[in-house]
Amino acid sequence: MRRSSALKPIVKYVLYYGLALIWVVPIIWMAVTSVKPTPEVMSFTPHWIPSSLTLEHFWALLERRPFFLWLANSFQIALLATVITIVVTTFAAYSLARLKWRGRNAIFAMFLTAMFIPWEINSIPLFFIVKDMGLLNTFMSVALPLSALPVSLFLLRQFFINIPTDLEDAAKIDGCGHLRILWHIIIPVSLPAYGALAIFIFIFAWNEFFWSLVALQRSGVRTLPIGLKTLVAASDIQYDLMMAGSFMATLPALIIFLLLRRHVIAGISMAGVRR
Amino acid sequence: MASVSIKNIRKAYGSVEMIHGINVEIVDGEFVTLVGPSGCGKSTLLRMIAGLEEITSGEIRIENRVVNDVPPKERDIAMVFQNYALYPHMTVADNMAFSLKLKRAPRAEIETMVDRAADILGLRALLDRYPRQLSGGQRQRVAMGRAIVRDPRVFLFDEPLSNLDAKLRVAMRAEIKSLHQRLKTTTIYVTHDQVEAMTMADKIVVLHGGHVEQIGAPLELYDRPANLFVAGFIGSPAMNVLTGKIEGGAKPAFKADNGVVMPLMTAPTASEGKPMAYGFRPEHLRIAQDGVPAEVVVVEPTGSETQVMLRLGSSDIVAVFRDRIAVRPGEIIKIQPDLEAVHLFDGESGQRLAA
Ligand SMILES: Nc1ncnc2c1ncn2[C@@H]1O[C@H](COP(=O)(O)OP(=O)(O)O)[C@@H](O)[C@H]1O
Ligand SMILES: [Mg+2]
Repeated sequence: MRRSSALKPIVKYVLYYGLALIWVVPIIWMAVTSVKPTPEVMSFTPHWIPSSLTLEHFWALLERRPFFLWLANSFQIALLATVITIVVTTFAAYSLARLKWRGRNAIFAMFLTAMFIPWEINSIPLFFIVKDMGLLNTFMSVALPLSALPVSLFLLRQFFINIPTDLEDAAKIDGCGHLRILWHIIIPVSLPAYGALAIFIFIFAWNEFFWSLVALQRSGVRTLPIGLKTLVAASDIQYDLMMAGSFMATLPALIIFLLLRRHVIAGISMAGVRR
Repeated sequence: MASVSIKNIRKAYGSVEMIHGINVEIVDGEFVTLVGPSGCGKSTLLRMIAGLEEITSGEIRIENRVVNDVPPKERDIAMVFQNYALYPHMTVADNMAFSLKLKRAPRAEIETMVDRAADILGLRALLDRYPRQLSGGQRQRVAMGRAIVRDPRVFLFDEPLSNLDAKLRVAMRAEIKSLHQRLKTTTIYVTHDQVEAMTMADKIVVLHGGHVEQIGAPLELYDRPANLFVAGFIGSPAMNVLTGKIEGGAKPAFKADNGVVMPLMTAPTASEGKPMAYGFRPEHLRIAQDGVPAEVVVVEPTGSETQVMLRLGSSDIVAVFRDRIAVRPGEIIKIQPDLEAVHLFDGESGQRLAA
């Protein structure tokens, strides 16, 4: 009896750490590779523990490629997408959650359906739209489509729907119209949902690759993921530089997540729950 | 302060009518309760007065101004909700000040009004707290504070006490009543609890299935219920009702369907042979030698009174005695209602018959 109850937590933790390892191993591999000497990077037998540590790949990357330009581009696009998403989705979600108009449910069903279409599939029609708008090779060409992800609308609408309507009725009596209700009641009450949404969109935009590759073709507007792709030439792949670059590219997203993770988790778990 | 006039108000959701033409006149400073079973349309009516629900037809006036198309904020009303509806992200002080801030009232005035409301309700020490840090009773007070601060012409309450425990409910009941006596603001108070309605109101409106059953002062409704519904709804324990027919003759009597013959003072004209309902309240039963025999089923002494469930013919009735009577289950006692306190109702329409 006693032995088995002492063993149970051990089994549990072995399982937890085992699962966590599956996600962590590639990241560790990336981190380790970015600081080990080039021969070990290229060797066939994996070197988990480097024989010596070096930062030469980082310096080489910064020297040979406009890493900071990519970083700045990525950051601007992610920030733009996040801000536009928040503004646009707020109005759309409130309208779908609270205002009564003909066709509301049909429109929402359309968005719901669109949620199941992988985002990359839109690339071809999107290309023509963006081209006609004259936005190719601008930050907006990536930020705008990312600001209209159905999942953002869904997340915020579900959150709004669960806000008690009495709160809005009280605000109406206190003197609010719809805009003031949004500003004074709905938005402040929904901050956890906004936190989750912001992180989700920022990281999604930060990692976005396929569409950016299509829309951003001039070198000056390249984002980090596309920039790093230039390290892959037809004949030769510079794994050492790539790992160093990837490692640095991962950091901002990781930091943002660590700073705000409590909001993310709260926001996601609150989205469907009545309070 | 203001009078409120409700004229032939109807409300339909889609093609289904829920409120079927309601008329109520409320005079300035009156405390009116809307009472009725759950789902009878009390909240809907109150929300139409508040402007939160569209009026399908009819007219609502507040102090002679038709408000049908006036938005809530311009009706000069304040409402207290069942679940309080406090703004969770604002402190108690900010909750109370919100409406004044929206009106861009001067800061000094806002402070004065909030302080005044806080003093009236004993909220001084809680002004910096958030709603989640308050007990149910305290939240209730803040919700009232938010209403008071606006100094409205009409207070609207929608079952404000139903989320509180029994003891607090009785205390808050008295507090709301004394608040009304102090502020003298016209008040419309919705409740499904007839005791709350009886104890608080100047005037009660009994609603049932979207109709008004009766309007009147609490004791008027108790003593002269207009129909069987009001007779059964107002009063606890409820009025005993037997169905049957009147037997004419030298001494009129009521022959109940359960086989018992009950005494009558006089019979309404031309009532013989028609189906009738015979009602008497539990406290209007006496033990009498020439009474009707009934079997004691359960005895419930509360100290101040004794409630006795009786089997009368094939019906169950309740009697309440102020004296501590010594009866046991199984015993047969002879009972008689006070003849002046007997109510007769038409068996078909349920309407009260002049007796
Ligand atoms: N938005 C609505 N749509 C359809 N029916 C409604 C709506 N609101 C209330 N009702 C119906 O109207 C009736 C009265 O409701 P309500 O006024 O809330 O009753 P009460 O407050 O007396 O319990 C109920 O039968 C309810 O189901
Ligand atoms: Mg109700």
